[in-house]
Amino acid sequence: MSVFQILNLLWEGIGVSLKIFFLTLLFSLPLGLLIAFGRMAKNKIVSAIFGIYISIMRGTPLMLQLFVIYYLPYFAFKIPLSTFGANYRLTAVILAFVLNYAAYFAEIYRSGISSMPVGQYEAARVLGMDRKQTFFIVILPQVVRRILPPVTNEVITLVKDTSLAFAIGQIEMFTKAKQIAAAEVSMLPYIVAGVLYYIFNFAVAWVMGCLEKKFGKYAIK
Amino acid sequence: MKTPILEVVGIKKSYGKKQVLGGISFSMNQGEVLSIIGSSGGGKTTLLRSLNFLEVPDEGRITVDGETVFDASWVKKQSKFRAKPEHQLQFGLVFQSFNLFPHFSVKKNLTLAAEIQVKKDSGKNQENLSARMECISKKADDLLARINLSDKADEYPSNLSGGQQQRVAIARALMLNPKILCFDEPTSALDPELTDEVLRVIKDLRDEGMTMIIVTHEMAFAKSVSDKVLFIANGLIAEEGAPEEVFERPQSEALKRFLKRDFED
Repeated sequence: MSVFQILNLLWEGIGVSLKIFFLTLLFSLPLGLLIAFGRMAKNKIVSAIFGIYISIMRGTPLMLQLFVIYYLPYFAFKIPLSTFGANYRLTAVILAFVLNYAAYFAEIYRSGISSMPVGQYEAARVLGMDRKQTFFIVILPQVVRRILPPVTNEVITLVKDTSLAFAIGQIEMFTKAKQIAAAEVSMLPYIVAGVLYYIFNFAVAWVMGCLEKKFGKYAIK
Repeated sequence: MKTPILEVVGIKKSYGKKQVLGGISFSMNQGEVLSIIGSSGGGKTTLLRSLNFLEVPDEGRITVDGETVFDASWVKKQSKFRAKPEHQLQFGLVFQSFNLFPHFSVKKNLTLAAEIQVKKDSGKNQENLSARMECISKKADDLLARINLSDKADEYPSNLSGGQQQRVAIARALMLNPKILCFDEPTSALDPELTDEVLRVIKDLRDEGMTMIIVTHEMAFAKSVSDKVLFIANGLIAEEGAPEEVFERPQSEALKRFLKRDFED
C-alpha cells in the first residue's frame, strides 16, 4: 500500500482530529478565562469551588474524564446513549476536552494575571479608567504576551491528545491508522500518522511564534 | 477670601493596628507648589495616594475647589470604594516607577485615557468624535514637543531612558487637565544624571502656574521649587511653612535630625 493510499484512507480521520482540535481551542480558551476569574474571586467559597474543579481536572486522566462524560447520561439517568444521535460521541469528546483544557488554561491565565505589577492597575485608575477598561485595554494584552509560551505547550499537547478520542470509539486519525495497520500488517500507516502529527505541531509552533512576535514588539520589564 | 484649591481635613489611616496617618490637615491655593518631606515609612506616600483615591482613608475629608470629593463617611466598604470619575480626574499622579503602559507607544500612552473618555461620551455622534480625536492627537503632539520627545512618539516606553519615561508619565498626567498634579518621589527610581531633566519639567510647570504636590527626597529641589513644605513624621505634620523657614530654621528636633542626616548622605 502506498503512502498516497494511506493518506486517502486517513483523510476522514484527519477531519475529525482537526474538528476536535479547533473546537476545543475555540471553547476552552474563553472558558479558561472565566474559570481563572472564579479561581481568583475574593469570595473564598467561589474561589474554593473553582480550585477543586481545576484540581480534579488536572489530577485525573483525560481518558477517564472522557469515559465519565460519555457514559454519564446512561449511568446517572438511565438514558440510552443511542437517543442522542450519531454525533453524540464526538460531542462528548469535545465537551470532555473543553472542560479539561479550560482548567489548564485557567491556571496559565491566573499566573499571567497575578504576575502583572500593581502599578499598571493604579496608573489606569488615576487616568480615570474603570475596572473593565483597565482589564481589557491595559492588563489582558500584556497577560497574553506573557502566557503565549505556556499556552503553546498546551496547544501542542492538545494536538497529540486528540488521539485519545479512540478510547470511547470515536474514529479519528490515529484510530484510522491503527485499523489500516492491522489490515495491512504494516508499520507504514503509523509512520504516516506520526509525520502528520509532527507537521501539524510544526505549524502550531510557527503560528504561535508569529503571535509572540506580534505581541512582543515591546520588551517586558 | 479666596477658596483654596485643595483642603484636606483630618485624614487618618491605619493598616490593622498600625496607624500610618494620624490626622493630617492642610490647604493650598491655586498655583502653589507643596513639597512633602520626611523619613521613609512616615506616611508621606500614603497621604499622596489617599489624595488620588488609591488608598481610602478611615477618617477625614478632601475638598477641591470648594467641592467635597471625598468624605470618609461615604465609604461603606474600603475595598469596594471608587471615587467618581470626575473627582478622580481632579488629580493627576506621577509615580515613582513611571508605570507607563509598555504595550503602547509613547504617544498612545498619552492619548489612550482621553480617547476612551471621548468615545464613551460621544456615543453615536461620529462626526464630532473624529474632530475630538484629532484634538487629542494634537494636544499629545504639543505636550511631547514641550518635553522634547517628539522624535520618540512612536517608540515603546522600554526604548526610552528612565528620565525620558518619567517625562512621558508627566505628559500623560497633563493630558487630562488635572487641577492638582501629584508626584510620588518622581526621581527616586532614576540615575542621578537623569534627575535634572525631570526636575526641569516640574519647574517649568510651576512657572506656568500648575498646582502641584511633590513627595520628594531631593531637599535642594524642594527648597527651590516649593511655596510651602510639609515635614511629616509618624503620620503627623511635624512642621510646616515656607521652604526658607523649614530648611533654615527648623524648630523640632525630629526635623533637625532629618535634615542633618540628609545632608550628610
